[in-house]
Amino acid sequence: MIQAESLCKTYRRRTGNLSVIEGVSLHVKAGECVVLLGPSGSGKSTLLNMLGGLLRPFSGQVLLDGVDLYSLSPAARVRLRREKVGFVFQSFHLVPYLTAAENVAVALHLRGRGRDSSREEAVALLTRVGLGDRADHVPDELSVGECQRVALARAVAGSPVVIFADEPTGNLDPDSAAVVAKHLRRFSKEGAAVVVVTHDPQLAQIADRTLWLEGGKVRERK
Amino acid sequence: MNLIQMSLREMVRRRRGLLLPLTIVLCVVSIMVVVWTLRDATMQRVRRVTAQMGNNLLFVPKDASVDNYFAAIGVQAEMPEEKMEYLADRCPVTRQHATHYVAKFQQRVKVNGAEVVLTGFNVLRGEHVPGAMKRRRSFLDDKLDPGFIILGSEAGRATSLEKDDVARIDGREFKVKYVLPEFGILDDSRVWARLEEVQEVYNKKGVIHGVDALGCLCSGPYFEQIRAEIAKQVPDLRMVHAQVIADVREKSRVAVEDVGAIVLAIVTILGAAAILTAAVSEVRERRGEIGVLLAMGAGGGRILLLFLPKILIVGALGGALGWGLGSILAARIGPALAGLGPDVPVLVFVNLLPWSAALGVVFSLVASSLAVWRAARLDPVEALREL
Repeated sequence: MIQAESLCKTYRRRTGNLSVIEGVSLHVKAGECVVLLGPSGSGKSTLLNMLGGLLRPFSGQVLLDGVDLYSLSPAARVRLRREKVGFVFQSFHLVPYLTAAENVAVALHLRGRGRDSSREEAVALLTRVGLGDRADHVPDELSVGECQRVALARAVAGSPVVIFADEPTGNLDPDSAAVVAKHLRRFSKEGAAVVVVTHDPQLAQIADRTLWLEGGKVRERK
Repeated sequence: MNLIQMSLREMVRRRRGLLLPLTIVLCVVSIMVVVWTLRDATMQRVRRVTAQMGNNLLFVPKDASVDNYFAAIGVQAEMPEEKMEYLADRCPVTRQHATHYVAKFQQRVKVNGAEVVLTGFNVLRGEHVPGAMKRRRSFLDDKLDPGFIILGSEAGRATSLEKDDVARIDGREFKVKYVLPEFGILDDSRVWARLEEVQEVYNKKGVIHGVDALGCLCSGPYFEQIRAEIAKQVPDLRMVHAQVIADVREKSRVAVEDVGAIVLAIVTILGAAAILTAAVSEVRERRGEIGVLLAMGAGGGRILLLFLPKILIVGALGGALGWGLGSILAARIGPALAGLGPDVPVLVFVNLLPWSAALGVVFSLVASSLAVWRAARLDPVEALREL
C-alpha cells in the first residue's frame, strides 16, 4: 500500500545541515495500523509528511499503491493525494465558519462527489463517528474531542486508501483519545492503511506494529 | 460543498471580514468619483471663464488689414453678409467647430463730440451655444428694436449719453437703450446698433466687415487641422484665431487633469497598499484552511476560488457604494473644495455607476492578486506548521 525506500531528509540551518531522517525504509499494508513513536524533534512529522506526499525527501522514494509519489509532477501528486490520502492533525484544522457536515462535504467535493450526495454522505460519515446529531454545529459549538472526530470523518471522506494521523490525540482528554483511537483502528480494519504519529503510549496499543524513530532511523518495537 | 460556496459561506458567517476591504474599495472609488466629477465641473468653469473672454475666431476678407479691423480705422475690406450664413449653416467645418456668429459692420463716428466705433451687429447663433455663453453675451442676444443703440462703458463716458437719451449719428437719431458695464476691451468704446440700420446709414446694404465666432477653444495640431479645412472651404476669407484664449483653456485643462492624475495616483497607490495588506492579513489568518485544503488535494486553482468570489463581490459592491458616496461628496463639498461658484452645477454622472463597479472589481483583483497568488502557492507543510 505505502512503501518508503531509503528516505533521507536534511534541513539547512545557519549552523549547518541537520539530518533528520537517514535512510528510513518501511512498508505499511492495506488494513494495517502502524504507530510511529519517538522523542520530540526526532522527525516523526517530517517522515509522515514525506509519506503523505507533502514534503519531498532529499533522497529515497515513496510508493503509494506502487506509484512513486515524488517522480510525479506536483499536479499529479496533488491529484493522487486527493484520491488516496486522508490526513488527521493534532489541532484538527477544521474550517471555523463551516458546520461539521460542511467540513466533511468539502473533502467529499474535492474527491469528486456531487453537491446533494455529499451532504448525505457527510452526515453518514459523521454518524459513523457518533456525531450524526452535531452535523449542523460549527467547530466553536463542539468539544475538542468532537472536533477531532469531525476531522476523522473528513479524513475518511471518499474512502482514501491510506490515512495519516499526526498526534491525533495530542489535544484530547483520555476518554476522547480512546474514542479517536477506536475509530482509527476501525478504519484500518475496514481496509485502509493507517499511519499514526504520536507521543501517546496508549494510542500505540491499537497498532498492529509500532515503530520507534530516533536519530533519524526507524526500528521496529515490540 | 464546493469552494465557491465555501467562500460565500465565509462572507456570510464572518461579515466583519468584509468590512475592511469593502471600506477601502469604497474610499478609493469614491475619491476617484469626486475627482472625476470635480474635474468636469472645473472644466465647465474654465469654459465659462474663457467664454467670457470673448469670441476667439474672426473671419475677415482675405485681403483685409486686421489692424484696421480691430481699430476700426482706415479702409476696411468688405464682404457680403451672406458669408455669415454660409459659415453658420452650410460650411461643414465651421458648422461643426464654431458657434455664435456675430456679423459686424463698423464705422468710426463722432457722437456728442466724441469719437466712438458705431458697430452694426447681427447675431446668428449656431447650434451648440452653451447656456453660459448665452448669459454672458446676453446684450448681443437682446432684441434691439429699430432706432435703439447700446453703448459700451467708455463710449457712454465719452459721449455723456445715458439710458433713454437720444443721439444723432450721421444724420439719424437713435435712442440709448442702456450703457454696458466696463469689460476692459475694445468693445467698451463701441456703440452697438442693428446691423441693417447701420448699413442703411452708410448705404451699404448686405455688406459687413467681419464675422466673429466662438470656435472650439482648442490648440495644437488639432486646431491647425481645423484651420486648414476652413481655408479649403472658404478660400476668400481669412481666419484669425485668438490663440491666447485657447491656450488659457488648454493650460487650465492640463492643470486640472494633472492635479486629478496626481490625486488619483496617490489614492490608487495607498488604496492598493491597504487592500494588499488586508489580503495578506486574511491569507495569514486563513493559512490553516488553506493548508488543510492543500493537504486534502486542492490545487492552487481551487485555492484561488476560495478568494475570488469575495474579491469580486467586495470590488463590485465597494465600487457601486463608492460611486454613491463620491457623487454625494462631490455635490456637497465639491464646490467649496474646488472653489466653484454657485453658477457651476456639480453634475452626478449616473453613467459612472457601472464603470465604478467595474473599477472596484479591477482594483480589488489587482491589489489582492499578489496575496492570493501566494496563497495558491503555499506549501501545505509550512501553512500547517505556522499555526
